[in-house]
Parts: sequence; structure tokens; C-alpha cells
Amino acid sequence: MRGAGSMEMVKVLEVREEAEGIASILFSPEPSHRWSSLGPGQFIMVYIPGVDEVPMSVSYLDDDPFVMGITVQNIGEATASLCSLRPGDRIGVRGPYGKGFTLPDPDGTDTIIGVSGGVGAASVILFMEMAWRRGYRTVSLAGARDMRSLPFRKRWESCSGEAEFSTDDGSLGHHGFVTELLEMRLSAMSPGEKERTRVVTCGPEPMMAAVKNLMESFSVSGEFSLERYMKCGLGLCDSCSMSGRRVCVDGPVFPLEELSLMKEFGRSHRDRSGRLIPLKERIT
Amino acid sequence: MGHEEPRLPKIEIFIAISEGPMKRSGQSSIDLSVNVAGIEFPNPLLLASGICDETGASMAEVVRNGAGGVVTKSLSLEPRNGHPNPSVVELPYGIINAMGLPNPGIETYRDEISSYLELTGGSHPIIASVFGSSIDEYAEAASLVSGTGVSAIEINGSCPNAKGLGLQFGQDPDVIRELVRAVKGSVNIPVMFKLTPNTTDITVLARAAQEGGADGVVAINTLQAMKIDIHARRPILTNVTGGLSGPAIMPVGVRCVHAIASDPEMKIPVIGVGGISSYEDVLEYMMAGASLVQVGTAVTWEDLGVFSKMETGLRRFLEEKNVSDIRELIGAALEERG
Repeated sequence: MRGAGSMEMVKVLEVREEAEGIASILFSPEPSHRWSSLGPGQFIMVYIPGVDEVPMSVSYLDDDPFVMGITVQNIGEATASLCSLRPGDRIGVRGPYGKGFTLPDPDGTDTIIGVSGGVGAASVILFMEMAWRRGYRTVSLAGARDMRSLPFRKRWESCSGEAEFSTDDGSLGHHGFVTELLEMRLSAMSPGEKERTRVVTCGPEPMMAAVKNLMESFSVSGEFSLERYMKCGLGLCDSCSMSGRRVCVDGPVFPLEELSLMKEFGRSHRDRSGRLIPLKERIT
Repeated sequence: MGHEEPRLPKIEIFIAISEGPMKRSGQSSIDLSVNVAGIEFPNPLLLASGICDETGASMAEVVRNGAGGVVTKSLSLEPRNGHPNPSVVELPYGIINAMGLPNPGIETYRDEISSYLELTGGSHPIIASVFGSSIDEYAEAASLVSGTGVSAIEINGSCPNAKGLGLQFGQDPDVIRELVRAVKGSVNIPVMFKLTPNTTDITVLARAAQEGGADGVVAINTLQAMKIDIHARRPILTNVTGGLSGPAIMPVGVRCVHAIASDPEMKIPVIGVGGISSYEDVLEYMMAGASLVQVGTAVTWEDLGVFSKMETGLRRFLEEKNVSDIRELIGAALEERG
């Protein structure tokens, strides 16, 4: 719909510290029709006056009263200014944009495993809460550098049949990668269980690439939430282009079958000029 | 995770997931093909510059969705990052953008053009949009890109979003004449000049392009515009101003095309662009004198399916009006025809 994404200026309600260097910004847009389609895995463009405009997955979404939230890791100018917001400050939001996570047919799939790394937890947690409310069996696997940098520990526990954590230094849960937790689970499952399981994931791309390999070798289905440098969010500028797909409108959530055809996944991304660069190089 | 150096895919071949309307000709007796400057287009619907054209695979996807050809993003000799965000404002009637001409440079983008040609098999022409910071740079850029398999050059002499580039070239008829002449002299493929509506009389600019030897003119580029954040009391766009596109500028574009096409001095074809989002809009532009049209902003609300929707709409309209060849409608609303 034309103008569906016009910017709405909102007042910040709360800035919540989730973990070391990770904060959520909660705000309350007008409960209009435009937001009725917003779901987990979709994103909004967040405008910080005089600073930047950045794509952000929605990490909080409550109906009554209508409250929305995003969760950011303080890593650059835009995220630092988001983290330093105070209640009453104004930011702009437009959206919702993109395709989010989808709930599988409950007759065929009854188990959802959420695998997240770091602040990638933002989109996965909202989906896991929805799946939990709808009666799916939920297993949450969340990884972080250490115990202090793991967000949403209480939320994971309250929306999951089972929640397991991993840390690089062993300060909480499994000492190692979150993908190792996934591998242990998948290898203990019967073929019938695997058939009734869907994995959803968001986190650093090397982590998701490892999740993809596990899904393929254990034959389980799944969805991935991707991130690319993004300017418009509207499907116009193509700056988030990835193997002929636009992450902003064709994603950011892609099913395994589609992702398997996207050769740039796990290997390369594009810088601001559109140049293809290896994934390990950060965009400056 | 292994420690292997990530390898870059040289040319990415994206396998279509669902069958799209790649081939639609032969479906009815209606002929939608047009020939402009000796280039054959299967239909008159082109992708406008700066939209969905970061990669060869993206542009091929647009063609798979029904476009008759594509125009690349504006390319320069050196890579450019473009302007920092916010670089776009969405409005109920259009979009204001100030992308700032991001592009990886012609040498790098060459691979995207090759990839497009490989994926489409050369059936749908690709036009390279070029810009530079001097007449010599424009000519050098055009010369470099002309050897990549593109069918024509579109000179972006009117982008309102890059300081020292584009727009001031495009508002001075003397500069346009010289610029087109220089580009024509450096390539052996057709050259189109994209006109700005940010001027008093667009026909003066169109004539200058023709005098310089242009094989066609493209009208219109975006209109200079601004959006202010009333809470922060400042323009939203980092670049302060941007270019307005979308439905809001559609009647402006139609008038400009009509003015150029009805100018008795003008002999070269006009390509219409600005706010087109339906087959009716396409027909307005064509009846005003456009031989081809370009579509951009409509992708926001209609996605890429807008191309096949317009193509189907054109076929139905022509069938209903008993017109077998769309070329009969070009300039149908011009006074001498009326």
C-alpha cells in the first residue's frame, strides 16, 4: 500500500539493559492498521535524528498496551546513540518490512528449535514466544561470548520447554559453540522426531552457515534470518542484494531450500559501493 | 568453521525457484515490441536506473518478472559509497531519495553486466547509465562501459543528489551539447541523455541533447524535494535534499514528454519515466510521445510483479481497442495527431 511505510515519530518509553553492551529500546507507536501484520523476524527502519537510519528486527511486541521494542548491541555510532536514548526522546520508525519467521503446520511439525548467537537472539526470541503460546514444543539454544553478554536469559527460560546456553569461555552452560548444542540434539533424535522439527536461527553468519550444514546433514527443515548492509528497506536500492534476492523484501528470513541456492551466503557480502567482499571483512 | 579463505563466486547463477513470465511472446497476436535507436525491445517496459540493479542476478530477476530491458545504476570510473542513511523518505504519494550514486565503479560492475547477459541470453537489452565529475570523465566512463556488451549509454546528467556531479551539467544547454558530443565521440553504440525536470523549459535541454548527437532523450529524472522532521527541526535526509519519484511526479513527467515530443525541432525518440505504476500510466506516457518507458518506484508497493501486471494490462487494452501494434499509440495524444 502506498505510504504504508511513512515514518512515524515515537517517544521512547524505556531503555532496558539486557546484557553487557546490549540494550532494548521500547516505544509505543499508534496502534494502526499498518502494524497489524508485524510479526517475529520482520524488521523496521529506525531513524535517529541527525545520526543515522538502521534496519532493526523487532524483539518486543505486546498488544495491550501496544508496545514494540528493538534490541541493539553497542558497536557503532548508530547503535551507541540508540543505547544512550532516554525515555521521552523521539525516534522515527517505518515499516513493517520483509518476511518474518513462519509457524509450521502443527500437524506435521510440533517442535521448534531456536538457535541464536549474540544479539541475533532479538528476532528468534520473539518467534519462540509466539510458538510457545501456540502450543509448539520449544527448545531454545542461545550462545554468547560469556555469561554477562547473553541477553534474555529469563525470557528464554519462560518460553521454552528446554533452554540451553553456551558461552565461549564456559562461564554459563556449555563451554563452546551453540552449534555444538544443536548437533548433540539432532544426533539424539529419531528420524520421525527430525521430521517433526523445524530449526529457526539468527546470529553471526559463520554460525548460521554451520547451522545450515547441520540441517542438511540431519535432514531437518529451517529458517534463517539474514543481515546485509541496507539503505532503503523498500526493495528499491538493491544495496542488500544477495544472489539475486533482496534481503529487505525477499527476506530477511529465508527458508533452507531458498538459502541453499544463494551462493553468497556464508561467503561474501557487499560494501556500501556494492563491491562484493569476503564475509569476514567488516563494512566501514 | 574452517579457516579457509572465503572464496568469492565469480559469476553467480541464481536458479529461479518458481517459473516466471520470462517468455511471453507468442501468447497473443498483440505486438508489444518496440525499436528505439536500432535496439529491439520485446516490450516497452524498462527498469529505471538505480532500482534493483546492484547485481546482474537482480536485473535478470526483473526481466524474469516481465521487463523488456534494464538500465543499470549510474556508474562512474571510481567506486562511490553514496550518502549515509537516512537516504530515503517514504511518503503517501512517492519517495524522496538521496542515495548519492553508490556504485562499485565500472571495472568491478563489468562482472554484473556479464552475469546479466549470461542469465538473460542477451534477449533483453541492458543500457548503462554513466556519470562523472567532468565532461572528460563522462566520456571515459562511457567508453569503458561500452565494451561490456551493453546496448546503449544513458547519460545521467541530472542526478540531484551528488554535489559537483550530475545536476549542474544537466541544467545548462551548452554543457549538455558538449557533454553529449564528447560521449558520442567516445562510443559506437547509441547514446541517450536523461533530462532533469528541475528547469524552466525542458525542451531547451532536450534540443541541446539532440544537437549534441543524442540518439534519444529520457524524461524525467526526479524532482528536487525535502522532508523536515518537525520534532528535531531538521531535514530528515543526511543530504538535506533528495529527488522525488513515484505517483506524485507522474503528471509532471507526462507533460514534459508531451512538450518534448510536440516540439517540431525534436526528431529523436523520447523515453518516458516518472511515477509509472500501472499499464494506464504507461499508455499516458506513450500517447504523450514516449517510445519506451522506465519503471522504478512502483516496485516499492507492487514489487517486481508490477512488470508482468503492466504487460498483461497493455495486451488487454490493445485487444479491447483493436490495436495490434503498440507502436500505433506512440504520440497518439499529440496535437497534430489528434
